[in-house]
Amino acid sequence: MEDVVVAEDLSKTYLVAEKDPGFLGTLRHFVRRRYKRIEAVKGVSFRLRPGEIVGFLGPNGAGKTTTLKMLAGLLYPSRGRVRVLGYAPFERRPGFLKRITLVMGNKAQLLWDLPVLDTLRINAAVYDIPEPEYRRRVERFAAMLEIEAILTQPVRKLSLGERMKAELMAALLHHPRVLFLDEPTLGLDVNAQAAVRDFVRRYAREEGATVLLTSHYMADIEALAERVILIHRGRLLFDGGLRALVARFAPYKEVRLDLEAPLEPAALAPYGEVVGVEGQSARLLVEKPRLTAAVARMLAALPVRDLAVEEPPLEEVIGRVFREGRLG
Amino acid sequence: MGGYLRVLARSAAAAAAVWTAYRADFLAALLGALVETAGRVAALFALVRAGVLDLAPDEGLVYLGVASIAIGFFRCVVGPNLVAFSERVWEGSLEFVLLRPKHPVFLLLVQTASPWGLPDLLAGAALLGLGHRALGAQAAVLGSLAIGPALLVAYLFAFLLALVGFFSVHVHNLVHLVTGLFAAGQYPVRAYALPVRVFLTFVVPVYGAVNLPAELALGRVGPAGLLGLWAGVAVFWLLTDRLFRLAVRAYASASG
Repeated sequence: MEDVVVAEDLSKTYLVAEKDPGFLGTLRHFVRRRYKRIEAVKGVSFRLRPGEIVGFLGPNGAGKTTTLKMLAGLLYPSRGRVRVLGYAPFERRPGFLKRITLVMGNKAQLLWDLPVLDTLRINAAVYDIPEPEYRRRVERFAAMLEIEAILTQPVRKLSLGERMKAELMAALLHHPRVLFLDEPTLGLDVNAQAAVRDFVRRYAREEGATVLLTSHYMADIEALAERVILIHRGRLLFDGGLRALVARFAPYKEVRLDLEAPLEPAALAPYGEVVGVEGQSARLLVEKPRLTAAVARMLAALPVRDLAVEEPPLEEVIGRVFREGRLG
Repeated sequence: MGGYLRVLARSAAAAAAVWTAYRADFLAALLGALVETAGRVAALFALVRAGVLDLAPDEGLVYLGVASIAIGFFRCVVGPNLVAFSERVWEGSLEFVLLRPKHPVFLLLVQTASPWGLPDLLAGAALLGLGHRALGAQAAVLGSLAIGPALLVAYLFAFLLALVGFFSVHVHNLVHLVTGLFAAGQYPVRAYALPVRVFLTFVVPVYGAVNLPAELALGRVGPAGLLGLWAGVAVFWLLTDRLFRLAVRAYASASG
């Protein structure tokens, strides 16, 4: 099957105005603007297949949102080629716009003073959704998200979790085939995060939709994505399966120690990389080839009450990749 | 076309719902605008009676009626939408408009409305009713038909200027400037000094957008004036469309 998203050597450079502090800086800024070039995305290439859910990860300022906006047709690439569903996104043809959506966790499209249904009615008109079909979709999504009771309440009276669910409903009302989700669970509590994840998973499965998802919550990525793309300082670091990521960038295991008495990190350092010490608990990363010997030495030399060996958390693995800036 | 009309109707319904959601504020807005409109009518009528504007009282009412409708339209529709456009650029929510499968300029032109200009619109209609003795039947029809395209010319011109918001972000003062310029049309442009007259006719289309419908209604200008207005709409729409596409290409959006 043909790839749904094709990005080749995708790059974006911004001009950002710079201003010195103070009154003189303000005067200079008013008379003559100085601009700095920011290379937000540098030669990124990847492809998404139909029905794939892919996690798009990177620290703040890595270029994730810029890439998503280029894929959605909001930003014009400075260089490279991009195709989504066979369209050049930036031309923003109606046929393209009717088949994609972009959800931004930190921005709202719902009308603040009115009930959710008012925004949905306008969206139905904008997307030419016939009235019976509109009603059917609202009923289905509201049931899936369990928000039937809040659809007639003003948006400003909703909780953050309810609002995000309603945002998703508004963003998917036209049944898009490609979903660009930028931090859809931002700021939500654990239950709301789980509800949003379940909804996205179910929608993607039932509609055969392709999803590119950014999130700082690894639980989102682990629950939804089998494949991840890592981007750092505008460059692509890794593109592959979650397991391959861990195998490649985490050639170590995490050892959790429960000690009889607290120890200084320096006392633990000879056994591995100390990643956390809290009271009588400690966490160490130990390279896999040295694991057996290191555990034996710890049990012999330290006042160990309990010991567990686990795969390191995904956050840890990805954090390391970004800190070290390793190229894939 | 039907799809666009449906969007227009639902956006208008939503705007009305927003006004009436805050009843006390809505009533205060209505009262304030009524007082202001009454003051403006009294001032112009004094000038007409004093003979300063070289108009018969009924003719003065027609000019003032069209001007009141234009001012009401600016307050109800033009100003609020230009400010909303600027706010969208500022907060980065213009994305939601650009992602819609309808023309983004159309969506930006109809995204909101305010009740502030309603009394002006009502006063304009009432003044035209009072001045009807100055109108011939055919000319009155021409004048009525001209009000729609005249307002569109003014709106598209104002939106064209507001596109600078893509680069400078804040356009609130620009909105005040444009509204003020079109308000100058409450007196016939020919009452101003020649340089001002040229400016208000060829640089800012105040004459076409505010005075021309009155002159058509009074039979001072023939049907060609109406065609000219529609030609103006077409030219300003094409210009707005082209410049909007160019501006979007340079649009960097607010950071997420």
